[in-house]
Amino acid sequence: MTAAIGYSAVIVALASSIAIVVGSMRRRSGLPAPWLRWAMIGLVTGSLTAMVALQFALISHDFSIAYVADNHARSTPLLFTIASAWAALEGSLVLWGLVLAGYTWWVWTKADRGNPMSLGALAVMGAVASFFFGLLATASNPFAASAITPLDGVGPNPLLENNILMAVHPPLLYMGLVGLTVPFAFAIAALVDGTSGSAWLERTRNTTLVAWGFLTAGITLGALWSYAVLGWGGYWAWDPVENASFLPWLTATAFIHSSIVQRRRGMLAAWNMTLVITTFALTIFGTFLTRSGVIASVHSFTQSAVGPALLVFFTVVTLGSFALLVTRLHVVAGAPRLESLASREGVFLANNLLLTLFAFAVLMGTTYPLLVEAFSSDQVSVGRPFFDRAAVPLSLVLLVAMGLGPVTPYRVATATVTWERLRSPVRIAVAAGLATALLATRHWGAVLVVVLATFVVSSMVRHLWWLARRAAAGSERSVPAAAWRLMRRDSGYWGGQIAHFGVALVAVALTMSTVFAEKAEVSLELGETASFGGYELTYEAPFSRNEANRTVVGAELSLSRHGERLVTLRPSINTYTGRRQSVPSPALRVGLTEDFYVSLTRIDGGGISADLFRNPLMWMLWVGGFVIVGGAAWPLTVGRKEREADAEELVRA
Amino acid sequence: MPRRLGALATALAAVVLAVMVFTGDSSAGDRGEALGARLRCPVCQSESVADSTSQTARDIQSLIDEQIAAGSSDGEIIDFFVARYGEWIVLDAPAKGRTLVLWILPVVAAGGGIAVIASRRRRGASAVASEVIEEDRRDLARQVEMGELDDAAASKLLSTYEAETKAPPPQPTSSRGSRVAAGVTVMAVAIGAVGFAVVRSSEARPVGGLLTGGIVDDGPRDLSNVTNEELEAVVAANPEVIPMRLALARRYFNEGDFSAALPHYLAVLEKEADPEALANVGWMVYLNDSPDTAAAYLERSLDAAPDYTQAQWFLANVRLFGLDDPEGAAPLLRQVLATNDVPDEVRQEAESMLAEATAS
Repeated sequence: MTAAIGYSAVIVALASSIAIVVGSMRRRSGLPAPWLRWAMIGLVTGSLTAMVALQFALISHDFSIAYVADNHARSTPLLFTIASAWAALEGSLVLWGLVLAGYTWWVWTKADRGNPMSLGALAVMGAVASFFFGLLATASNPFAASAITPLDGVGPNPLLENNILMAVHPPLLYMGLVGLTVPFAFAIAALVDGTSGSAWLERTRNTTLVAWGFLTAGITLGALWSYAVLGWGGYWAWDPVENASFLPWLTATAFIHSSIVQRRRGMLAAWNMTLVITTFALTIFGTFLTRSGVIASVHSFTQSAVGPALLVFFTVVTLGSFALLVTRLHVVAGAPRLESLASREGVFLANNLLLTLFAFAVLMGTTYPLLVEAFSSDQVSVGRPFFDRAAVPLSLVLLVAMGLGPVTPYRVATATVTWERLRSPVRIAVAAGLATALLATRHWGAVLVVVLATFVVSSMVRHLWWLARRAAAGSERSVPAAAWRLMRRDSGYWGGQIAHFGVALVAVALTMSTVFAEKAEVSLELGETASFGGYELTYEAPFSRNEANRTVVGAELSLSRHGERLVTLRPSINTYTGRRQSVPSPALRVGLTEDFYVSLTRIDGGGISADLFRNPLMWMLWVGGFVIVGGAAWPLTVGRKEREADAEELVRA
Repeated sequence: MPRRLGALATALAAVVLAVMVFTGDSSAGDRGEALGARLRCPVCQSESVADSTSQTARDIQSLIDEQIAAGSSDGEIIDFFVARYGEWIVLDAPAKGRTLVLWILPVVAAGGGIAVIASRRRRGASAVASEVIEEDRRDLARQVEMGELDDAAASKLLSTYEAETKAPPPQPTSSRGSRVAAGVTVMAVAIGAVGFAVVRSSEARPVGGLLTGGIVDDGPRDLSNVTNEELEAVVAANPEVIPMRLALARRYFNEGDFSAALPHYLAVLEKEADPEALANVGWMVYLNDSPDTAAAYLERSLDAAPDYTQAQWFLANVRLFGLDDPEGAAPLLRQVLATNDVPDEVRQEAESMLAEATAS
């Protein structure tokens, strides 16, 4: 019954998506078909019902559905039951479809009904939705019946069942990846329609920011999940599937920057189209990497016929969009208007070049082993050393650009003005570097990143202070009040600066945790103490407990430093009954200067073996990630009322 | 001139900082660990030897440390592992051979990007949307007010913008058709190449390494005509596929090549308590004169699969002959004899052993 309802809902959503394409195609009247509203409602209810039906099937242990039998067990706790709706291929596509329906609805409510660009964008969204619901109806049906209805299922993949972050990280990632369909849809609509100018950018600015913010949050939480669950003491492995989410993030970041140049100066129109198409193509390519099971990876949980379908879709999207762009290039592309490379526009161009090269290097590193193996059946490895070698210099130059760009004038930057604005930031940065070298470390990477991050932050703070003092001089406002008003009024710019502040934090955290992380392997018998980096770790007692879905066997370890007892850590090894698989569950003490991290590798009557890590400044990484998200959200917090009140005040003055 | 002095002090401080950093110790910790980070753990998925917690990775790490202690250079150590496992073991894609392209292409792309940006400078006036010009005018006024531009520069720019409002709208270029054709061809070739690669990989590579090739899963395969060497390569490329590793280990075990079988069984046991692996490891340990450890392995095997005849048979042998424990052996022998598909020679031997056990 549940399966029948769920599958019908998928069919309704599929039919509605096709109807949206047909109904929003341009008609002679210039208006959409009168029934388009019903198609919208059909898409949203269909996709929502499909998700609810899948959840219901999981919660009611309906093992006659193959997806439930493969990903759920009676003993799975409720939270993980809910999360297992997107723990495997078919379910994750249901979530994808639901999020896409949500964004399509958003576009529909914001669209002015007679505008050809909005209607064209809806048609593109409908076409993309048709593809995904088509997949759900055929190759990847989440409601397909089990061959034999088992009494109990095997439960979700233990790695996914081990931490609550699994419930949050994929939905956030999908809110990001799927949201990037919206600017793509508007770009295609503008191309088909033959409209030049930046109207499509104005219409998609908010959606792009929302999607990018979610993507950033999803990647940050993904790193946190890797750190908290996998027990290897790290958070980013340049795994193909991590790269699959990072690639569209890089190109979307480039797009957010270059769209500012187009809105402000009417430049880079064709380049923006290229970036937005590339970004969307990369999200599809990423889904292909993640979900087709084509590469061996921590994330490739499933193999299915979805792979070829996604590959064909990727090909059609890429070929079709770029062919369209080339045929409309004469409409879109303007003549160069760059007055000087030494200008805000010039730094934006440098930023775009760096981010694009970054994406290019990551894409090459990810796909190169696949290509070599496919063509020659030889195997090569491209791993962390390669990616680090590309990422480190590019990121360092990006930091420089991040400190320079926001305070560089548009058009032409004269040496006098530039130096006036950079003088104090440079001094503060050098002072911070000296302080680091004298007090903490003389490692070149650490010192350089401290210098650059301080430069970025002091440059933006100085600029805000300077602008606020000018504004306050002409009114009765205090300087902080004037600064706040500036940040609210020019919310796009200052949102960007907040994000840059987050990036500076992330840069420092990444560097410190890479350069100064320490690792040791120890074996301890009961009552024995190991010392590591100023800490003493004592194996106090073993513990074990049987939970509904797993057996937890762990060790109570007391951690102290200089004889002072800090905390009892309880790392464990969890064995999941359904799958006969053991997953280590690390324990950590989070500190202001460093995390102490223990991951068990063995526990038996003879004692334990464990990996110990000291990871400096990890909190800064997570905080930095969410400051970036806050930067994306900042302009969205300025409501229409606030803007109108502000405009009124300007007029009165 | 306090301003000059300030700049001088900043420059001096920067020089001091640079000297401090360059004379400071920037070595990335342990040399052995740095080498481990450059090698791939052969039994894991995209993890380095330094990151992995698996036994194999630890063994490789200690081999590295031994070679460092023996005075080998980094290059020699890497070459040693390449000779053993192939180019695949190196994670950092050296700038030679197959991975040279990976070094050249980004540099070419960077050069191309810089060239494009440098060539995109304004050359006179061109048609631009009027609202952009309007925004430019407003912005110019603001920039002058903020002291970013002086009046002379601003009025020069302003006259360029005025010219832009009068410039004729752009005309479609005549070479459009050929441009479309060229663009589409390039894209088609690129995507075709990728598609070809993936399709080929999914057909001809039912058990291939990084590419799972498993778009269509053909079910279990006939391994009878595969040599040990071929199977070894497949297992090395698919460290996660346990049945494959078990099949290989079973072959070695049946051929009596215990030193080859043991590491594979241990690799399996790292992942899961497979009864066959436990039983056969137990037997090998017994033949190596450690009956206590052997019995522990075999008991674990029977914990995992209580009806596993082979483990019962091995454990009976260990208890009777190794541990001198006939009471422990007798029930196991009865279980073995109660099973239908026991080979005749085993049945005969079991009967005589049971007689011996009950007699004592």
